[in-house]
Amino acid sequence: MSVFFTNLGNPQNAHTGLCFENDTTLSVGAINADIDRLTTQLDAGKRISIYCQSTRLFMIALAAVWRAGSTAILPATDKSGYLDEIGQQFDTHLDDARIQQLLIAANTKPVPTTPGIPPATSCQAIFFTSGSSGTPKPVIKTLAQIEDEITIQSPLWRPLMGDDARIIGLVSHQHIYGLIFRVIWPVMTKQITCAQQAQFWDMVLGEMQTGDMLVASPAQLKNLHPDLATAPRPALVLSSGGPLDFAAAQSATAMLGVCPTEIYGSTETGGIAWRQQHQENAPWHPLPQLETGLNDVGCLRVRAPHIAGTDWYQTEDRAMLDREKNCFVLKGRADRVVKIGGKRVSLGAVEEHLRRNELIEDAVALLAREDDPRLAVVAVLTPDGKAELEKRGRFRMGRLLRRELSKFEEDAALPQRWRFVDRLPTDSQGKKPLHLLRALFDDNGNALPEVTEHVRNHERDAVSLTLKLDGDMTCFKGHFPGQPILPGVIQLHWAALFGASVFGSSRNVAEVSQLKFRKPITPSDVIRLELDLDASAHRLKFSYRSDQDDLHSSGTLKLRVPQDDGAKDEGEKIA
Amino acid sequence: MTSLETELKAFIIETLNLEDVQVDDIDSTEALFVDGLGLDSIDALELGVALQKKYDVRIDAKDENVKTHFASVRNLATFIQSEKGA
Repeated sequence: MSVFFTNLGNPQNAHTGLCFENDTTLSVGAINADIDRLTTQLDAGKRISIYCQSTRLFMIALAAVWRAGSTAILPATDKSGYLDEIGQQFDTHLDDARIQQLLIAANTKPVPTTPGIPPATSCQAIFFTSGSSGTPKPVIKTLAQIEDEITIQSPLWRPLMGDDARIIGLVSHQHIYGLIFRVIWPVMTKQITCAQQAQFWDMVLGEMQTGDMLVASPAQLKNLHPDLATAPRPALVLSSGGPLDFAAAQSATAMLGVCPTEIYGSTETGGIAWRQQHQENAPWHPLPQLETGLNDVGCLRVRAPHIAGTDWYQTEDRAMLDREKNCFVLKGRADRVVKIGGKRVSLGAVEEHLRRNELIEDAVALLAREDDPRLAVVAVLTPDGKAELEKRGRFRMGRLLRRELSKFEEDAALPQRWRFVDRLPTDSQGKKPLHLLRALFDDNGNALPEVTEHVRNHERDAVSLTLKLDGDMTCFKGHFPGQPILPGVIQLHWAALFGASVFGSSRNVAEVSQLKFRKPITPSDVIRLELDLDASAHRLKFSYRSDQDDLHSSGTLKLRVPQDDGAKDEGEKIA
Repeated sequence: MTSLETELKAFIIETLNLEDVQVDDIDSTEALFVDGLGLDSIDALELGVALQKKYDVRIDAKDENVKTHFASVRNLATFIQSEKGA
């Protein structure tokens, strides 16, 4: 029995609104008819990956894959490198265009009888989390687990909203959090959901009506649009995917008129607990029916029907329980241990010590490569720290911080590699993905410039990156004395490295063609690097332009394809 | 700056795999350790072994002059030259 499928197929709901796109609202009946049609086009017993821009098409595809008796694979991004990485794990790939084609194809054929409603326990979705190794790790969720979780959560949040409260989502439906609240929840609680993910607050401003429900991430709540203060008030603001700091919770409350409701959980567990930060360090309240406990080393364990049934699930988050009040405070992660020179090093402990230093605002410790024998740190400096960096230069700054750290940590835990940035790279979920942090070390000390703006064209593999140049960069040294310009070979190198970090393409260049250098690039220029990848031909077009759109240089790189990469060849055949 | 000093700077950068620092950034007379270039005891160990291999100099940890020999690139160059001459 599945509430999701029962509600979709119930004739009484046929005219109830489910999904809005611009000015049009589609009914449950209309969506369900598309699900019926798409189901006829899909095979049973397959692994079908879905990556959509449109939440409407995603909902249709997900339901149809399950109805057809197949398993849904949900990649976190559609970067070609990422899809290759999980390539051997799916049989067919559905994106917006392919789903629309299949829906049209279904119209031209007589509709055969479609399979009935599948049991929720047999509907599987596979997510990929970036495991500690950086390799995507599959996590299997069933529709039954998701429905159980919504059944537990809806009595908490649904009564706070009016009957016609709509759902505006700022997070992707490809992740568990967005999938629960933007795709399954609206069908189960009979709310209307927006078919497009709002990428920016500007889009929310155009859509939001009084009493709506916002599904957002901590990163977005930290960067609110000033006009929100006078916009219609939402009834409920959800935040999940990472911690929301108290200052951000306070300013969001003032701007949005409602204190964000944070949900703590993970892809593996789904939701565990919730809180509203009316005061600093407000404790977390476990979701109804969820039991909590601690293991020997003080890490939280949880038990709930939607997590592991009657088994306990052990998290790696340290916690302090208050049994009387049935709540807990989180004390940071206990995992993230790497081995350096045979010694175990706790990355969390290194970060904690660094953050206590008055020169450091925030820091992440990592291994830049799995087999790197040197600990690496990406740090955001305080104003004092920036002044010190200016004075000492990057190398001596790293050494100063390393000396300070040696008061607390053993030799193995002293970082050798340092990168100083204005802000830590985050993805749309507000997380700090390991691959973006690692990309900062791709240059081997020959600094890549910092990216101040990143505009991705989702129709194709194209991106525009605004680069922050600075006369102190190694690449400007020596040529020409008193008149530094960016060497052409560095421009090619940057194009290949940024291509690799954005699209996951090869970083090795086999051939360069159509190369034009029209105007030199100097340290004071504001430069936009535009990249356009033709993944099948392994061609990366690049151009460097000024903010006035003047062309500085352009060309095409033919990328070298790794010969021994069997998995990649396989992936291309299937796609 | 003598050619041995330049060579030593490049050797230090390469041996210790130092990032973000070039030969030109290291002053021959600045302190190699702590508040100068900022090398530390871990680096000293690695550098000592590598110097013995490449220049065939004997570095006796008990020798009270070791600290002086390693104080700067210039001192290190003088030390290597005197060992070779001996």
